Amino acid sequence: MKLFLLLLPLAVAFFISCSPVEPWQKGALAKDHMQFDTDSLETKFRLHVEQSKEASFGGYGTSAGGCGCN
Amino acid sequence: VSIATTKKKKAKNVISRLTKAAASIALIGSSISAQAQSAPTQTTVSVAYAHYDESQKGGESRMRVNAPMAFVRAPIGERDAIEASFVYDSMSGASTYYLSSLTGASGQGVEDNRSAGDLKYTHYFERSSLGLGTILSDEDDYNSKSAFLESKWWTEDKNTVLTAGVSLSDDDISSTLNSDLDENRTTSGYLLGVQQVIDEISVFQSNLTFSSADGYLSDPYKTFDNRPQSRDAIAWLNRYIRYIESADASLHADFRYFADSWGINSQTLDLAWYQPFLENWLLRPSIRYYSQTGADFFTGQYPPENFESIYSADQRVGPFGSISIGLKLAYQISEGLELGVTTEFQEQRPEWKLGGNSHSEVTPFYTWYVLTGLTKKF
Repeated sequence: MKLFLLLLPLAVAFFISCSPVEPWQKGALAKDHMQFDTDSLETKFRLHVEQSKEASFGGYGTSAGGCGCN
Repeated sequence: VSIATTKKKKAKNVISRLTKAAASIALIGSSISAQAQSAPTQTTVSVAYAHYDESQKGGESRMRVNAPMAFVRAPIGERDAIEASFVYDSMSGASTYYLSSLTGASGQGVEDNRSAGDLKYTHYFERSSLGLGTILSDEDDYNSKSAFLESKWWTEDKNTVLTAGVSLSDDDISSTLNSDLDENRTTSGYLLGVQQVIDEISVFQSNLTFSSADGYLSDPYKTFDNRPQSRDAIAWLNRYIRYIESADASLHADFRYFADSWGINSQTLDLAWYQPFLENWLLRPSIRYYSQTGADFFTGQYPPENFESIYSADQRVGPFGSISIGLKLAYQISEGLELGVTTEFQEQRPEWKLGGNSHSEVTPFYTWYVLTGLTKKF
């Protein structure tokens, strides 16, 4: 929680400082390997393997349930 | 998604619930696609096959999983989309990694199968979207049903996207050893997220999730395992992607902080480098570091002094650190058709925990998987 309070002002300052990017400037951002989820099956598989071995979960989606591994 | 389940279970001996689960593959967090600010125009179909293998130090116990899976995302008209996935995994092997109900379970075999699927329907408005979905998972001794609702709003230039989501799960827990065991837990989950295009070459995402679970949270296959009846947890995930023009590559960095009401907190750093080469190829090396503290009630002592006390000797809620190293190689066979192979190796060690560790009895543990997938877009 301390970490959160520490980083929150930084995050706010960061968003304010962003300058608008126009549609014609998004060539690099549109590339396949520039996406957050480049391969759905692989992402799901990997997240589940991690979650089943560790006490932590969450951050990537709303659903915390769906399996018996916790 | 039709959850057709064919199950045959031959538990010759006891194996810990968590070891099975550790090896089982399900579909979690299927509402991940935070980047879609408009309805998909293409249909995506993927199939994949994964092989997972785990072993502990000493090497005599092993657990293997084979898992075929499939995914589809398709537009329906101009303003709607449907997304579904399915996985069937079969596990076999034996493990002493977790303390099981019977001691000396090493070398005994176990087999179990699991079916899981999810379905999500999304409607797109001019500046927002609304998605509704369900996730189902079924095994002999574990059944989970969840539903989720997710909404996104974006600015006119689509540079900022806000996400809010809520989910509810209802899980039934039984035991193949104890037919009297009939337990239940419910979990509610919430997500708030923001995604921001920083400049022409970088994008950032920050998600905060909160979950609250009530009911049976212990492991039915471990003697004396007795955890609290509720658990609240938060996770704060920050993701950053930057395009590296000189190499036509991209760097992906994820950092997650996690904390729960059991006294566990963790930090995860995940780095991946996406390197296209020779027109149709992509190589992606990755490295991940993870560290968690143990639950307040975790102890390496077995059995407990007081059999009624809140207690767990499960290594998963104990303190440790881990390092993973992964590599993906993808090849674009033709326009819209891609073949990919991903492999990752992970090692868990007590001494790799941040800030040191007094629980040296936590056993080093190794896992490895390889996933081969084929994706078609049209």
